[in-house]
Amino acid sequence: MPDNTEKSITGPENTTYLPNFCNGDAFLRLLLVIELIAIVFALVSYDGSSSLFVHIALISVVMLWVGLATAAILCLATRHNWLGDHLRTTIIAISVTLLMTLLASFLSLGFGDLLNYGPTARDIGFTLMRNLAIALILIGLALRYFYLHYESELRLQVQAQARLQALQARIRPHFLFNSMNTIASLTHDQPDLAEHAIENLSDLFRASLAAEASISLQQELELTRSYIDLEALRLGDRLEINWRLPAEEPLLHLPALTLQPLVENAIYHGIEPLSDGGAIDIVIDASDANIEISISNPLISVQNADQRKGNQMALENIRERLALAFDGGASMDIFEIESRYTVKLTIPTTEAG
Amino acid sequence: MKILIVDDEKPARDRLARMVGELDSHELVGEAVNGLEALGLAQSLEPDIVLMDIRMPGMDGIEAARHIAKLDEPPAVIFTTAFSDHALEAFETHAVDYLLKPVKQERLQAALDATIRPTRAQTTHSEDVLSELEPRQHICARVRGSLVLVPIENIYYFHAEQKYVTVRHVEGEVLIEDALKALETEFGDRFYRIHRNALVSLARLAGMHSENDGHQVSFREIDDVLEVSRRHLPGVRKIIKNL
Repeated sequence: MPDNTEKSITGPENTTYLPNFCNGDAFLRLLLVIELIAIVFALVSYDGSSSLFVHIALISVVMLWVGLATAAILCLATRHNWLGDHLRTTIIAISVTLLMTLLASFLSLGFGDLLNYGPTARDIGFTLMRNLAIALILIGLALRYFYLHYESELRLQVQAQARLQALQARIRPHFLFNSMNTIASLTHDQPDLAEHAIENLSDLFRASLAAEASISLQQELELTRSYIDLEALRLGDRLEINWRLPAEEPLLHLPALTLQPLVENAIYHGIEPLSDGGAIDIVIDASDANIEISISNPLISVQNADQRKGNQMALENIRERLALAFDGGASMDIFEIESRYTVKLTIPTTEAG
Repeated sequence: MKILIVDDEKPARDRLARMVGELDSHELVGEAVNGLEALGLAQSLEPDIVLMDIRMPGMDGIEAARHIAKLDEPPAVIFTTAFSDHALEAFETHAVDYLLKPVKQERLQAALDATIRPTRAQTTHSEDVLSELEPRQHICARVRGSLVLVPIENIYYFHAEQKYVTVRHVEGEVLIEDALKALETEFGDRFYRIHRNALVSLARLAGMHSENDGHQVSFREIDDVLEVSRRHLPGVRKIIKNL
């Protein structure tokens, strides 16, 4: 049975899993499907005693009447927000269908008598039960189909949203436009530097747009350097970076843009608020089992709630991606020691997935 | 018009300086790297227009603009920003002028040409708009024609007397024209109202004692005492208990 936990994700205009029956296209499609089913039924039950076309027409009339009346009522119900949650929607859809079937069955029995066609009075009970059973099965199938369709749409929507959020988390608009401004400034006086800045910015964006790619630590360090070069143009000697890398660069694959956002955070929260700037330490230690990557920046005491939230979001994003890539084998720790803020990643040396 | 450029990033300053240099009717008179320096230069250079970055270390552009608005003849302030959505929303609704970086030459010229020195009413208005954004880090007072900045953490109390509010701080006292009510709204998380006429710093409060019929609070390091009104007594008691 459908549950209603996912309801809140979609917008207010699409809270039901039923298609919008008020829409002309959906109505026409419904018409076509019902007619096809009617023909199938007519062929199955045809005994050759009357004209096939009359037989098809009579069954079509009943089924179309049920289908269209049900659709019309559900359209009204949607418009007036009578449907409520998924359970209620399902109950309403089934009840309406059965009710319409009952009504159509009685009407067709009446007309059948008039036309001297169809079941005789003693078959009435059987006919009603049969029609209701058919209607119940068909509406059950239809609702199941609608629900699966709705669910997959919903999943697509959520995925698209997640991707967008991940992208936004990785490219801070603040960074993008400040870089653009720097480039605009350099274009005039130092075109070589401007050219180099554009190359670096392109590399970063290419990496951002390659969704969830896994790259080598060397490539990630390259990206991080591209990023630092861009920020150095902007911040001048306010930005100091101390690198400490192992003599032999370890073999490691990790999700693209794991390191760079941490440095970006360090600059945004730890360097930019300081008039005289400060130093960021990037330290990589390799042991047999793990590789530890630490990034630290001066701790700024005065930070408003928005900034803290932004920092948290970026860190959460990286934590999630690491958890996915290393099946929970990697960890992220945060320290605030001796007026420095340090983020440490510990990644197992076995290859990333 | 005389223009002052304020931005912490050198490439950003250079670009604006060059663009202003290309305009005949405007002249660049100075550059500042943060809000504090901007405030100083706004007084000494007397620019007509300040092109002010918002996000800067030390004192940011919004706070600097609020202090600048208190000058006798304040210059017009046009904000420049790369991206800062929540400030921009406030600007949009109150028509405070701003330019998005990278700034276009035509847009800059249009903004500068459209600027006339703001009237007293306009600066008060823009001060109100900016005050919605964030509490200041400093109180700005005018002492003999020049601006004096008092860091909020150095303040013991605000005491209202007729037209002025006395700001008692580590290095002495200054008078400001802000309303006590507005100060309470802005700094409510660091100061507490103990009387119709006084706000005290929670960080610098020492204790409370009773004298004659009333109650008085005292402060760390200084001998000043302030009267607590009956209405605020229960609240003050609670705070003293948690000191």
